[in-house]
Amino acid sequence: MSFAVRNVLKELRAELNLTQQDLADAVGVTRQTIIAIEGEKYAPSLELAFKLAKACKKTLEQVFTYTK
Amino acid sequence: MSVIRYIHMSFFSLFSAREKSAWISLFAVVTIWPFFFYSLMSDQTGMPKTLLGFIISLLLAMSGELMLDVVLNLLVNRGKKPKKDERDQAIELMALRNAYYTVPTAAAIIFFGPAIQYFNHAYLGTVQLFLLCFITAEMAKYLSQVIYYRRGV
Repeated sequence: MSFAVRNVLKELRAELNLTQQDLADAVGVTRQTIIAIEGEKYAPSLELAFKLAKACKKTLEQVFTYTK
Repeated sequence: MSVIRYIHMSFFSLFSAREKSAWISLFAVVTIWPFFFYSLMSDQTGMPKTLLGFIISLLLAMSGELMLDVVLNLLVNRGKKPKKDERDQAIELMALRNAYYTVPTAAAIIFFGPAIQYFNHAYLGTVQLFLLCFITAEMAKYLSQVIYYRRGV
């Protein structure tokens, strides 16, 4: 399954020195959901995408990109 | 208890509580219901002796599935209520959609196949076949869930 929504969540999380659990707690999801998003196995909803971008102190476009 | 702890530490630690629940439910369905259908089929007629016997067997199978599900969930998830997020909901909805597709598909295969002739249109036999359709759908739901959790949605 090829995903059109790409993200740099893993890199941003490393920059901020956050664990997957920290990020999951900040946005209110499970750690496995963060793993799935980072592994591009799940495209988050718009609301969750905004929450993730906010938690990483970036804009939505800086975290998620749409490629076809 | 140590075997369960070993399985929990090595294998299940990779899964979320919801994914573990889906595996447990699938295991409970696959373990209990074949026994129910086998016990009814084993006397060659495929028919329960009485309606009461059928109802008791059905209740036993349902309570067996429920108990197995609850006990395994307590052991594996350690009594914690699994948190449900949007990915879990998306997976559950997709799995339910597959279950809804399974009901008419299973019904078409079963009722237009040789099974209905086997029961000679007897009403208890027909009830059993309907039950088989719903159990197949339930199995499809849990199987879809475990696949979507690994493959992604």
